[in-house]
Amino acid sequence: MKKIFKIQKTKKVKTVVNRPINDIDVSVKMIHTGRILTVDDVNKNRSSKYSYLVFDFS
Amino acid sequence: MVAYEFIDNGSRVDSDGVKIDVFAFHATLVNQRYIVEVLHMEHDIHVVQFFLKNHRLSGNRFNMLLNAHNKTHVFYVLNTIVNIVKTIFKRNNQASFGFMGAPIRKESSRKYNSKNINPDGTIKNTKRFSSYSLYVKRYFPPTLFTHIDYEDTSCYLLKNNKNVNLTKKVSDNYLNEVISAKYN
Repeated sequence: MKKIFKIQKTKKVKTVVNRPINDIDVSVKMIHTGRILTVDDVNKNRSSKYSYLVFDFS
Repeated sequence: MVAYEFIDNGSRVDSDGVKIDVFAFHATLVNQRYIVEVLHMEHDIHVVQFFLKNHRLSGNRFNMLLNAHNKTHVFYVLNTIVNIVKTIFKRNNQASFGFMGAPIRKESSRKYNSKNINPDGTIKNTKRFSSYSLYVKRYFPPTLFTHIDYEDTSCYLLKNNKNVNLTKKVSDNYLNEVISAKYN
């Protein structure tokens, strides 16, 4: 029995780059937002042996 | 609160026009001198930064970690900074305070810490940020200061509640402005 092999040729795709990659601006701008801590958040893991500072200088 | 004694070395204005109050203290436990700079930013925000006097000319002066094993000394340094903050508050009772937990060298390396480095160059949750934020929660009353946590950039703001103009939106926008000016 004769075996027939089919050879498929893949078409080569040529990529054309119009300008050097170094010229492309890749800087990223992120917007950072804070989180307001509640009194419970502040007191979490806070030992009661410490007392808050007094800021009354009047 | 046990701390080192500090001296007020006056003020200067940097090349960007920012007024900086300069303080200094001698850490007698380790026999080293420190410089503390308080930057007067917009909206009465005061940014506190400190470094060893020996490192004052180094570009990495905020990133070096020294004597961290000596916990008494570390607490003395932080207590001294708090005393300086109280001095600033005496001069301006609308003052808010901010800090950035500067990364140590390993934290700013993409090789070791790529997962915490943001695309814009800021660094998440640094060691200093974790320590300092725990420390300020211990001493700064939430009734007087709103604690705003910027974990993504390792920044922290103690917003003075007397300063009604400094809203969360204003502080967010200002932080983003400062970051884009610094990193871009």
